[in-house]
Amino acid sequence: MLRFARCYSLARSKATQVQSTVFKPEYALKCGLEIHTQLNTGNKLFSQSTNSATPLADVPNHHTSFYDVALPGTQPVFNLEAILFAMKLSLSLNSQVNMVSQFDRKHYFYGDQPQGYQVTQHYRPFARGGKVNLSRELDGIDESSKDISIAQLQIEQDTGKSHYTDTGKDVVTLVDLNRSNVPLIELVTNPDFSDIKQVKAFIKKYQNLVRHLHISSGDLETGAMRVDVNLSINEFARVELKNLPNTSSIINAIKYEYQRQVELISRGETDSLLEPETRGWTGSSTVKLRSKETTIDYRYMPDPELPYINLAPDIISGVAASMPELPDDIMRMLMQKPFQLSLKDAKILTYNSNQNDMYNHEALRSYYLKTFHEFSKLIGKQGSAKLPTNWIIHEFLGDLNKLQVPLDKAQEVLPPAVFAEFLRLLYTETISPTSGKLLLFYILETFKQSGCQDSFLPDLPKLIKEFELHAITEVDSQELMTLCNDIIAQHTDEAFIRNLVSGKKKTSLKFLVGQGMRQSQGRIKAGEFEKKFKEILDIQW
Amino acid sequence: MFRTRWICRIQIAGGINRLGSYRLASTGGAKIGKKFETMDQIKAYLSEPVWSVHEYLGTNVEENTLRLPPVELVKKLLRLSGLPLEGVDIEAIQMQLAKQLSFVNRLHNIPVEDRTSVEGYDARLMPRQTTKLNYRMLLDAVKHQKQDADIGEVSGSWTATGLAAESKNGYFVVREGLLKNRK
Repeated sequence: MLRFARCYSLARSKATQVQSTVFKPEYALKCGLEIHTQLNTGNKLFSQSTNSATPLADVPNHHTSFYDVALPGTQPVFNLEAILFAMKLSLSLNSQVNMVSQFDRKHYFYGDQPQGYQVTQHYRPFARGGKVNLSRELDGIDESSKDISIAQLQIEQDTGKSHYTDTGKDVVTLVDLNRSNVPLIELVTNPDFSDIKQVKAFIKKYQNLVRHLHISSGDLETGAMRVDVNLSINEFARVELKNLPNTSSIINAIKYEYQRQVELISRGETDSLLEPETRGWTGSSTVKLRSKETTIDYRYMPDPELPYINLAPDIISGVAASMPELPDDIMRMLMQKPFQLSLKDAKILTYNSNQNDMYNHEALRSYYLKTFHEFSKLIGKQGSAKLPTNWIIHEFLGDLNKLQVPLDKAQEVLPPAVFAEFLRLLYTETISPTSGKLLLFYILETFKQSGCQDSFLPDLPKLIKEFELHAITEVDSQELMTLCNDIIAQHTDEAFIRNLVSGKKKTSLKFLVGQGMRQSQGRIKAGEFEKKFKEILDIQW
Repeated sequence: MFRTRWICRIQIAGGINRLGSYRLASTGGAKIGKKFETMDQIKAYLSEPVWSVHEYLGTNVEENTLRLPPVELVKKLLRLSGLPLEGVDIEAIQMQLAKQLSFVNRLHNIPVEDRTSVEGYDARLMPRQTTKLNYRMLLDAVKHQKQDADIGEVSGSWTATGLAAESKNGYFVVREGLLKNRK
């Protein structure tokens, strides 16, 4: 027990150390990223075998051609879909696409690399230059605007996967080549990052971009996106950090490494920082993997089996014309008039989290925009932007998740025109928000109970009448008095009344109004209750 | 005899079992011959010289005039190549490398006609001039992708580990010793 407690306290002190890292101006951090992104092309990069790199359920070595396992005599045939994907990414980053690029071999020996070399682009990569803009407004960085410049983008093949087993007497590596020859894009940034927030914002932005372009799942957890960090302090040599499986590892590794180097510099022990080295992340600290003496000589050479990628000029204009609007432009459009969404809501409509089965952000954004326009047509230009936002992004999505009804199905009973009509009823106070919630849930629940088959459009006025959901415009004063007195009798005591009337606890009035709204099912306006409670209790404030 | 489907892939006619039934493109006058029956026949075929350096370059390598690469360099190359250091004849390798370097030096000195580029990346076997890929060709290529079961591209069409000396539950097995303990 004592031993356990000791281990626990050690672990905690390390975590605290990482979290409390303070970036000091006299120790300037300089960071660059290398991001490998798996492209979700249908087939692999130099063979036509199925590109199914990440599903865990796959049988090992199931999606492998003779080339993927490097049988002697097999040769590569380039899958041009990778060009289409790389072109989309390059254009979205404003990178300069090389009209002639080429593949090169990078040699090293490892069990999951059966060819003995990786085909990559060393001498003439697919694209160079470009940038990602980060801003305080959209990305929450400290600076109002910051450009992260891109050094280059290259197409290359992935390796297989190694599973290490240690049975005690025997250490073997099990190799699965399903991932071998899956297309990757390696993006290399210049060392433009000077703090953690920028790194975090960049990763999130880039991840969303590849999802937005439909070129990758962008998931860090499955390895579809892998990030290495290059870091240096005060112009000392660069340290490369590897084995960073998720965003928190990336951030914690940078913090730890910064702290480690600052301590070395402040003690004058800078010998180890004079030569570049590669370090791995253990989960709590960085450890040395390679230094200059053990740097691998990759013996790059032009691949003698693959022709140059030679592009005609129309390819750039063709792909550019097929590009979707980019996320930053969409975000700005949604945050301006007439929509005026908050940053959080705009992100829900723009960022693909890959975490919700009920809708995707593109379909939801399209639904929102159509409904917004229909609603604006119904009520004129002066309409409230908040109603469509609150009711679609919060209420409607909440119901879809609760009932497990997908958006594309729900649209059959609630197309944008019908939802806009529903919003108009709320806008004109024909129904109260509480009744609106009941009505919306009822429509979706009934649809769900039919197995999402009865897609008759709902007759809103009929339903309101049937369930007596219409707001009561003329409240019988005597009836309201009785209702309020009942609530006071049931839910209060002497101290409660004293504190409320004296103004010591004004929020108690909200509680009473809430009870009233509940009992009247929201059909009587909150203001009516507030007025009546004040009258009964003779509240003067 | 065997179908040519790709410009730059050397096809394995009839699948992997007939791997030895033709010679690779670089050997020049390749033709389809009789099917090999034994490993010795394959070895004998491959060891038979079909061209020589002398024939093409007229070189006459004098072993005693060659500059041998240093022993340390040979050891470094062996390490880089993942080859063992123990029990190997370093002197013999030095001599082989020296001959190869001498050959490469000769190649470098051959006058090249119509040389338009001196860039390193143009030193290659593939044609320097290739057809430009336009947008329509790109979209067509993306649309018409086809898997070929004859070369294992259809998932599950062959057992990848079937040819491996060792496999376990569908995985290839690599002994740690191959990667580590290598001096």
